[in-house]
Amino acid sequence: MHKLYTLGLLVLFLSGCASYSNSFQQIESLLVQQKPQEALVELEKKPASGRDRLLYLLDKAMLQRMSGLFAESNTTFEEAKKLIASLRATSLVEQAGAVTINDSAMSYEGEDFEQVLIHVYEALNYIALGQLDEARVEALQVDERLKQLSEGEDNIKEDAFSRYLAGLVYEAEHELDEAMIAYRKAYEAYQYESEALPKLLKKDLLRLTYQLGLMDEFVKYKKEFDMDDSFIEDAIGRGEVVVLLHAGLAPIKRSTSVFVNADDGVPVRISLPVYQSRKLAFSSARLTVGTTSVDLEVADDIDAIARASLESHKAAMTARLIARAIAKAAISKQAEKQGGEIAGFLADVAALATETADTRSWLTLPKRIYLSRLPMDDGEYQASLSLLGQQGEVIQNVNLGLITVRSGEKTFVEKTVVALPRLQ
Amino acid sequence: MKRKMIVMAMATILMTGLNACKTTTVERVDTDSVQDLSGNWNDTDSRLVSSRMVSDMMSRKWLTNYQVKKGANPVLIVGAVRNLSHEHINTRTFISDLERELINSGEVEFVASSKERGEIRAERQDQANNASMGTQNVAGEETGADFMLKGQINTIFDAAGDTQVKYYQIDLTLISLKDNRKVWLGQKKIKKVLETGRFR
Repeated sequence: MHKLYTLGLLVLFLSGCASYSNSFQQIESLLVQQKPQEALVELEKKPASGRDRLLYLLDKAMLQRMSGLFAESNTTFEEAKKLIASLRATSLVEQAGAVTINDSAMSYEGEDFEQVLIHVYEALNYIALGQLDEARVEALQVDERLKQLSEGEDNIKEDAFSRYLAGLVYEAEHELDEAMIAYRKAYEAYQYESEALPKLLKKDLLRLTYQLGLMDEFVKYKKEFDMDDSFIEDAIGRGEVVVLLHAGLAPIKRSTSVFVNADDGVPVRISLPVYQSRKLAFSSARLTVGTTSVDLEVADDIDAIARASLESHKAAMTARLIARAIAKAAISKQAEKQGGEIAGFLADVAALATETADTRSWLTLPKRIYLSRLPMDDGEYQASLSLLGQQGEVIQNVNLGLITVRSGEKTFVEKTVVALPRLQ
Repeated sequence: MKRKMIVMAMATILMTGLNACKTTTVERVDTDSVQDLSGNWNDTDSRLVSSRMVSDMMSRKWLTNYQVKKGANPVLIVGAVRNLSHEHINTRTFISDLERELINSGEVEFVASSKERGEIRAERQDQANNASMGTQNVAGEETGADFMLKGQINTIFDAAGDTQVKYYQIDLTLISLKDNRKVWLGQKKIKKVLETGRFR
């Protein structure tokens, strides 16, 4: 009888407290239909003010930039940055809530990689607005942020794509020595993240060491990458098209329950978040500018980085969750002792019902960022992207419009493809 | 246990109550008053730096040299002030602070920047077509600038634990448009130490 009651009440409770990731469905479906403006309207209907404020700001900024509102997006990102800075101080009230109720009682501060991506997307917004000096500010801030993070014990130490983008910004500003430093750091970071080194970065390292006259380093890279260096002369001084493709959506956190044995051998139930990847409808992409074609490369695998990040927190999280389960058990035992069986039972129900994993994450991020750079002569070109399937067959062509290239300058083009645009 | 629960419930009610009575208050303050909130570059920095640097510029030899040689005040224009710092600094307010200080010094003449000139020229063109002869301002009589003021803002940032040090360096250069000579270099440094709280 007892058991049945518990079950019934539990179901009631669970449906009442839908986790964050579930409430995102409507926005996601609008994004899949390529309607970011409508998704933005939908999101703004429910502005979050409390513990989920940061998530609201991040999603809002992302939807704003997808809608082409770059300046507004940056205002929102700046607000998010301020919020993160204020959340860095520990709140005792929230800590108490997290110890006794669940992790969602804490204000969402953003995973390390998410905090770094704020700078990345703000920089991209400034690039889209043609304000390179301001994008450079973001490059400096990301360096500062990574320096702070790497001092922490279980923080990330590096972030490859943000380093690479910083290098691109410095290069666009004609500061080759700064760009070289950024590319070197990107090189180290891709190794740290154990991601494949993009061929683009290899080329940049070779070209810049050559241009700056760092011949020892040039020879070292040339030997390591085993590459033909005829592309260097071809690239120097010419204009360049830089294309970024934000593809798909970042993985979503789900809650799973597992039984683990506490120190005294008593099994306790804890809820852990696990990432569930979202499918991408194409497996690679090719850029065509005028008559020249080049394949895009994965420059940032957010899906993989998110998973690695969660994995690195897992041990500490599990320990914290077990401690909480034990504390809850102690409370219900206390309640039963003092308030009788019913009080104990109620405390049990409360403990179980409130035990849900923290499934909050920045959901409007793409699954991957693809990148391509193509040196071109002065002129105007028609550009398009071909989204390719597993066998390399063209699934869909995306028109990028007319692109103007000027020698010595970079032309940035961005495209977001959440899902494949439906054929009419 | 029961008592504890009641206490906790009351504490919760009290806390939500306190949150609810947060209202907006507005207090007008003198624009010259110093208010450091986040430690970032603010209006006070912009004002102090511009006035100190301009007064330094006005007290140097290049000015009297020019005035004695030419018998007139030099004509200046403000070029770009680049923001190479860690912060999104509004350089436009800084530039207008500089312009104001320069004009009010009475020692230099000032011409409109290249952006403003376009608008003025359009107006002059319009006058040529529509204004009466007596009130027309004709084209081709603009004053050319003798010097251009350019600059940049740099920062060095350091942090350890709860303490942060922010160091701003503002460099301004006055360049002669005739021969690219640098006639004046100004530098102003600001250092701020920030302590952030551990708890909120």
